[in-house]
Amino acid sequence: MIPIGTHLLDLDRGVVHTPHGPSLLSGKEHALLRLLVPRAGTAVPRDEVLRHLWPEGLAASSRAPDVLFSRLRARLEPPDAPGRFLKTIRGEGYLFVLPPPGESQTEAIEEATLIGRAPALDRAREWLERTRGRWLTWTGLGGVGKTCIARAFAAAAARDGHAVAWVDLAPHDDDDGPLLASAEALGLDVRDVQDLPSALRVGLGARRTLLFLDNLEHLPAASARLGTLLTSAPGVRVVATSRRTLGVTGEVVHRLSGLSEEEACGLFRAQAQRVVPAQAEDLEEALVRTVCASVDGLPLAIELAVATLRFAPPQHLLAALERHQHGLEGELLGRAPRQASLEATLAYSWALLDEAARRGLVALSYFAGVFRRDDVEASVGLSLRTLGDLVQQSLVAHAPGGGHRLHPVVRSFARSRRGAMDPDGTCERGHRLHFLGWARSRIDALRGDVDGDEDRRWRARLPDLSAAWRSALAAGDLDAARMGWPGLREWIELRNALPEARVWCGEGRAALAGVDDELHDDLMAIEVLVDPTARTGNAAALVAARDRAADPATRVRLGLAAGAAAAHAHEKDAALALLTEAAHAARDLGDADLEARAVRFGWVRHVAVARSGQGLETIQAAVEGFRSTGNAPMLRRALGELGASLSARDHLDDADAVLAEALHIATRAGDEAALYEAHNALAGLRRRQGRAEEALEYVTLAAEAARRRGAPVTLLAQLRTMGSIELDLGRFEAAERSSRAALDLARQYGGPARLASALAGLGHVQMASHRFDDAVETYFAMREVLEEHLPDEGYWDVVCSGNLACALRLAGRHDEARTASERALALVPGFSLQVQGQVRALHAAIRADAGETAGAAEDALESLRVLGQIAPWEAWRAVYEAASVLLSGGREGLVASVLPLLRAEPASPEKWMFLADLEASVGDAEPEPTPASKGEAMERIGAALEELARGPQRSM
Amino acid sequence: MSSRPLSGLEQALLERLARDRGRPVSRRSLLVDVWGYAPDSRSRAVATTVARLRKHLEADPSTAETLLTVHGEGYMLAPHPTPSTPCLGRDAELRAILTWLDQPGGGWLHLIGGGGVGKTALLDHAVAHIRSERGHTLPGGIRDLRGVPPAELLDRLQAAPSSGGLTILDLQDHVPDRPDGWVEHLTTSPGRALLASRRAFDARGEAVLPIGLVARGPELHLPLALRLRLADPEAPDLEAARDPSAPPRHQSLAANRASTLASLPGGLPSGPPAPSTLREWSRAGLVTWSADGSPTLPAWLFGPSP
Repeated sequence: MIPIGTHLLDLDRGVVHTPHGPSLLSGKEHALLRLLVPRAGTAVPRDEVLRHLWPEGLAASSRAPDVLFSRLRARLEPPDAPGRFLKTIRGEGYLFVLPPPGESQTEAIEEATLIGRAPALDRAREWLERTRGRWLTWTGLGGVGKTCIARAFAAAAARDGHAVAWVDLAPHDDDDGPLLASAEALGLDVRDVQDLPSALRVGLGARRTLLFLDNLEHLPAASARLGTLLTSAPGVRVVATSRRTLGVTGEVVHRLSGLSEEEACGLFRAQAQRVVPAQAEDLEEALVRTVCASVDGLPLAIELAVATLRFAPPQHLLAALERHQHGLEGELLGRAPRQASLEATLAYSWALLDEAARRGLVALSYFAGVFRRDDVEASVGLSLRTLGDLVQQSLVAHAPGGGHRLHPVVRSFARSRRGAMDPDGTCERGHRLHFLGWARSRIDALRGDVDGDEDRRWRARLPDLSAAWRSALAAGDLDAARMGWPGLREWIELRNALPEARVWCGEGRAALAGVDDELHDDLMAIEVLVDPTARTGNAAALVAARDRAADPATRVRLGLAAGAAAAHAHEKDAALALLTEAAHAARDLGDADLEARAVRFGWVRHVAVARSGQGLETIQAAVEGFRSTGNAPMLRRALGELGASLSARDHLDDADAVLAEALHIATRAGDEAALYEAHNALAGLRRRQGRAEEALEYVTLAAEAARRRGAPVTLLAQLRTMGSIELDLGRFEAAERSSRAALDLARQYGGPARLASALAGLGHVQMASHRFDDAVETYFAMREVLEEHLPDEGYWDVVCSGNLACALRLAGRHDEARTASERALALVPGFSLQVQGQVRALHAAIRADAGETAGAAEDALESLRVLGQIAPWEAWRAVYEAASVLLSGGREGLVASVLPLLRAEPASPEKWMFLADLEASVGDAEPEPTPASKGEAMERIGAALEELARGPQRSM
Repeated sequence: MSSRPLSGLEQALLERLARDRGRPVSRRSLLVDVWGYAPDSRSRAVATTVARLRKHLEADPSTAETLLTVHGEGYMLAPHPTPSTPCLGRDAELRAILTWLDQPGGGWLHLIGGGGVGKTALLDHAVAHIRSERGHTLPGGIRDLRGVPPAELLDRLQAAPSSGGLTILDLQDHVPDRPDGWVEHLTTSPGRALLASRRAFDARGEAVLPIGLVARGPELHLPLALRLRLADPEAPDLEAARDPSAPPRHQSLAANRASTLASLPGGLPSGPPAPSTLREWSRAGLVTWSADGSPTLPAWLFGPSP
């Protein structure tokens, strides 16, 4: 049976099985096919056809053969592809093109595997039509789809009128076999290789044939001979598939790599629809993407992965990937045995490698990501020649940004051969010592990194550094760990590298506990310094560790960490004492950089603990310290902190200069996180300067940096800031858009807390837009989120109730406002002074609305007292609520006297609203003398409130 | 109906018509295939033999319902009647079959599952549905090989390959030792196939639809249990219920268990199943997975519940 498109030809019986049933060939049709089919790929001359079919003789000009031929074509060929199997070659005769094996039935399967291969096919077509190249080799890893694409190309070439012959060389493993098989495919009757040259010359002459040689990787010698021989048959052009380049003269190599993520996902879904029709619709996008990414878009791996979904749920697939199996265990019937599983595919490549290449491949499996030639050479002693060999064998690929990489599937395979090829772990040790040594050697470069090159170097090596660190811990190689740690520590500290801090320190502490206390404690110190929320050490444990540490620098770090832990536990005095002590110890050491770090860190914690206005000089000292030691990354961060604190103290111009310098360093370093911080800080400053338009520009830049980094949560924060600046500018619609965009992001990426916070933001915009009822709805929605997901989060309840109370008050729903505000008040003890003060101020205003002037005045006094503890300007922010109370107590004159001060402040819609409210309430009351400053105003207001609190109602 | 045994010629004619059940076979083809005449022969033989055969098959030979004359085309054995076995609670499975059918390309869909879950009933149901809803649009038509003894199916297929269209195969409890032959045939012959069997081949391009228990409200039922209950209402409990009219493997729950286990290498695991066991059982469609990804083996296979 010969498959021809959707038909099957039974040549012996002269029957064609069509989808509509069998049909008999006529005698002449049958005879013609008997003549053409055995010589498929070769044109049979017209006079030979005449001789055989019309032995009684027929005029040479007779149209009978052509009529017969076209009738046969109508019977056999699909109407949409005439000339696909039967062709008339002008001047030569009639030609039957044998379809490449496996076409027809498996065609549709292959079609799916051609997803994403159009560009490669176009390139090949260009080679065929535009060049005179004699030999094209498709190379690539086993399972990348070389045979599939070659088949598709053969079919397309046949459709375009090329004579095509196909040989699968996988079954041949001797030298002559391939040559004879190729000759046979070309229609030559050759018994001995000796006859081949003349047979090619005589038999083929200038006849044009496209010869497909499938699976040549194991036959480089035969390929070379074939290449030479074929020079005597100038019409023959070869398309080969092979895992390695063949080195044939004139060979053009087209490399096939895995599919892009989109294409791979498309292939995954197409395969899933085919083999798991019941589940295909429900497959999660994340699953599909994870699987496709983890096998680097290798088509065979994707096909095998989808096949496992037939018998086990997707979790199992993911679990197998996590175990680094990449479906190595899966196996499918119906493929060539060496393609039935990934294990078999790679084992076949492995078998073709020499000893050095095998050892090299296993050595490379220790590299976690992209590797550079010099690293490979220095660490595992892999020669450039072996590396080149592995690249040729398609086992090592060029990485897009320079360097090389192992395909993840190849790495998994190579890992499984470690026991055999690297039994005493020499390669692993080489890798570990190389990278940990590298980390140590880069400390100075890291500190002086102003242009970001060093940062990029580190980021490229992070996976290998992690692997090396882990391997040192796992092997108990303490010397290596001690050697590498200072470099790793420097990276963590300078870059505030939270993920690495968590992983490296966390794993290190677990492995070193009781093994090397000094190293262990230092890891603990760094982990707490970078991540104060890490619940790894409490202050007491860290103090104890500090006191037993021998190395003075370690003692400083442990002291700082203890201070941080104390600060986190709200032990304010202990924290300040510990931090100050550590800073002094650092100074005594005479290490300027360590001193500057201690000062800076102490200052940051100090501010966090005390929220006081002190310490400007301290952070200035830290800035100067980093400037003197040339530590660029730390300098940038300290400048950011200095700018923020100058801005908080209203030294806006100084802050401007400082933040500009920080932005300059961040720009040169090209570090997205740093750029984000710098733009964000400048946005805040411009806002305070009342230059809202510029603030908006900086926020937009910061948001873009967040978008580029793929940091949705940071982006969310920026969108919210954007919304509130737009609000300042009175662009209510834009503000609402930004807030809603933030809300969408929060729904997608944030947890309930972020969602609640985004709802709060939206409510704020609605309030400022005077859409109080909408705001009330939003805050009710927020309350629902809280009740469902965060029932025990008092803080959020306070925020929600407070905002709701405010919205309800403005919507004129006083009773409900009162209830909400009381709820907030009941929850507020224990929260920050700011929250306590604001809630109290709001409650004062609500009580004033209800005419309870004395109680309202008490609340207002309390709120000013609480807020004043933080800073005078915090208290000033509650002046509007206090004014409501004063109005209720008949002190219009005092309120009127404060109005000019309020009008002089940078405007925001909220303030306009409250201000307009106050102005309307004051009416034409005679203002008292205008106070000279905010401070004086506050004093007078306080006195008036006290008077009201004592008021006549109380004494009655 | 006649009680006389079929003659050789009648038998051959019936088999030929059964091979293309549901599709008309021309007089000419019958003459060639059954009688071995030359294609252009003229003979009344077909008509007279059909008339004789009708006496065996039809309740009333004058109004044929089984062996039909299709004017201008030939004779046709009527398609299988709509299944009498109820096939409830299989909407999702039927949808999956139709989804697969709507995919372009070849390959086959394998309905797998333990004994008595109703694979044959589902297959009948699906074929009836496809015939009535898609029959006229399905390229290549339907070639129905249900009823051919499972052990002979592969030989039958290899002797007379499909010419395209959809082939229906029911392997019942027949589990091929080596599925390679099946896989080779199914991947290389044109058209595609819908088959029911105890175990997937695990081959390239093979679509699999595991058939599990039927959900009725919160409970899961083995359809066979329901059938036994209906067939033997007198039985004191389900284990004792017998249905002598069913094939031996479906005559009692015990027989069904034994036949299902016979197709599983290694039999019942005593402890938690090893990964290899789990793989075999998954291929037989016998593992269900909970939401957290942990496997459950079907309780009914482990014998009567105490």
